[in-house]
Amino acid sequence: MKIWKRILIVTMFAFSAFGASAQAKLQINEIMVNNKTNYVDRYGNHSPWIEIYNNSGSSANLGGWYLSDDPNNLKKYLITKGDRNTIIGPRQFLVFWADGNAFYGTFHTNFRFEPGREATVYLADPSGKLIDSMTVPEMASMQPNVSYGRTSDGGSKSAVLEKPTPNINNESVNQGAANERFKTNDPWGAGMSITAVMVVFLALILLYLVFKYTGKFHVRLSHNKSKAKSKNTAATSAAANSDEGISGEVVAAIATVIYQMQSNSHDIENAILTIERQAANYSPWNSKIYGMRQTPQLKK
Amino acid sequence: METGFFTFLADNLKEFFSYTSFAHFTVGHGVMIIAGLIFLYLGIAKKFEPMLLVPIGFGILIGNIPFNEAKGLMIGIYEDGSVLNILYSGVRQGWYPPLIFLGIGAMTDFSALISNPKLVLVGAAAQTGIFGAYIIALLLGFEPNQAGAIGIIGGADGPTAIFLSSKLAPDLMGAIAIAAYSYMALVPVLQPPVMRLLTNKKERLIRMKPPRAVSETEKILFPIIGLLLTTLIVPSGLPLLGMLFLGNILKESGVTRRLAETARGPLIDTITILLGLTVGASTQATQFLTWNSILIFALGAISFIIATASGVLFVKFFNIFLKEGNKINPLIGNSGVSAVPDSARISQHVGLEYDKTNYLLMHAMGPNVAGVIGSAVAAGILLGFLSN
Repeated sequence: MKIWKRILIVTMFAFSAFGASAQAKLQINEIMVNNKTNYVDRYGNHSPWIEIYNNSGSSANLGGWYLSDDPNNLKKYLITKGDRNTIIGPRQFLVFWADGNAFYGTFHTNFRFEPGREATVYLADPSGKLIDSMTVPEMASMQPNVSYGRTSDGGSKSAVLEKPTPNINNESVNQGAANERFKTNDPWGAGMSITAVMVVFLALILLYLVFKYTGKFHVRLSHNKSKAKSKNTAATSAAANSDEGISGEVVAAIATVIYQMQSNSHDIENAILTIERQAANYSPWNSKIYGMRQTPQLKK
Repeated sequence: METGFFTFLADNLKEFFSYTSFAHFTVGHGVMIIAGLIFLYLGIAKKFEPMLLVPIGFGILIGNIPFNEAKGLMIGIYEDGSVLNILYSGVRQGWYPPLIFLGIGAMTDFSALISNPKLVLVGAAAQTGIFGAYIIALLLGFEPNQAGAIGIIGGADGPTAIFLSSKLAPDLMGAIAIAAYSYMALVPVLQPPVMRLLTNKKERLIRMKPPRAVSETEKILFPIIGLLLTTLIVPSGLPLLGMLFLGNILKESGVTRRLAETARGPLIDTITILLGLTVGASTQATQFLTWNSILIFALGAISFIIATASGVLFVKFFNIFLKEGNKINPLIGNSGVSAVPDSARISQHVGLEYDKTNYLLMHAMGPNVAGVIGSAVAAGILLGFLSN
């Protein structure tokens, strides 16, 4: 039985470890296809770009990974190994230029996006396994200086982003959106207040209902237990009466006397006291040095 | 030669003077130092929430010693990389409050609530103060996110107020935190008049049924069910509610005594010191003394009063539906604001004024701890709606 328990625990740990490692760490976060006057590379060109996001609490190295626009060739562009600039800090970004000019450096891919066409980017790990992909719809690809990406960094929802944010948080695009929405639709705050009070009540009413019935169940359970106990006691005392002729009252009287005797023979506390042995290896009280006097010497 | 030396000496002294606080002292600094001294006086002499007011008051003194900011001495709380700035990151990033909640969970006994679960609704009703203050803040011209952060003062929960304001309105966090803690300390002053005003003598004398004994199983189930029910509805409250219920299961499981003792002892003490100190130090006069801060203080008082009134009135309303013998004394309505356990103590004190043998403390602890859950849920809702 113990072995099975251990196997179960080990399996659970293995699954949780697998679950943690399988979580996406590097993600395609934002893409701009039709870059007219937006982000500029160090050669002064406005090229399409791809933003990769490190959705983890530790640094990740993109060196040896692949970017591609072809589902049949996920290893189309190898991101240079050994370039320390390919390390992305936790919750940080890296932008690649999809300009077809790989000889410009590590961050320029050997494929290019064409404005007005649907574009898909594939991110594969060093073994060529697909980790993430993102498709920019034709509509987003047509509009100049508009990107397509996750509405929140690493989030599951993607949309056209009117304000592109290469190398910075996508959330900043929507910053203030909620404020504006509430200012327009709920200037007095009544809508928010009613909704929020309802939700608070809903959560706490559920808690109330669950514990109302849990409590009733427990009260009934303890009643049943005490009933069963009293039945057993009655049966035992009946059996005792029939066997030895001692009534319940006598048993109670004996118990009371024993209790009183115990109380008298003991002081007031009824808790269990544990006295731990304190082992002191050294104490000046048992030191021989302190017990000795210097031998008197005659000074001349 | 000698003239040159004296000029050098005079220049040196002049430069030294430019480094002293006297060269940069303003009326604002003086005002804030007096505020810090008042906090210390209230904490030490009057014993109003000393655990909070003493570190906050001392923090105010630390934060308002002026210095030559232009020299980049790296000593101010707002200077990136300074020691105080690093300690302040726990407030700014909002990770002190969940740790405080862990400790609160490990020291809170939810038995009163479990034995009489209908009291949880009083905790919900008292959260109305948050949204009352939210509406008034909007009317005063605050942005919705700022109004939400200000409103949470009415939850009477310092860590929750800091957590939410760090997310919604970091620029107002100092004022919100100071207001929240100040009013929590002033609960004995703010609540009793409202409680007396809204109740009559007959209601104040209501005796409640003694709470039933709660089994260990129920106590263990509470944090598990509580977590699942509240966070499945409001996942944005997870940092606070998750830590609160974790602390509570450490306490109630009976098998993690050491962890529970650490959470409710050394850990919460350490975080309270850091939180109090850095919140106090964040009130630099140059950043803190603004018209908005004054408005926030006024709104904080209003939200406390609305929260107290809502709790008391809700109990009176609830009593209409309850049978004789099951009625709730409305004097425990005030304890629906969290401020654990001060607001429950107020219920007890006011109750004893009218009936020397009517002990309301145990009953008031129910809505009091429900208020902690309720304010964390409310913070989660505001965060969910207003965070972007």
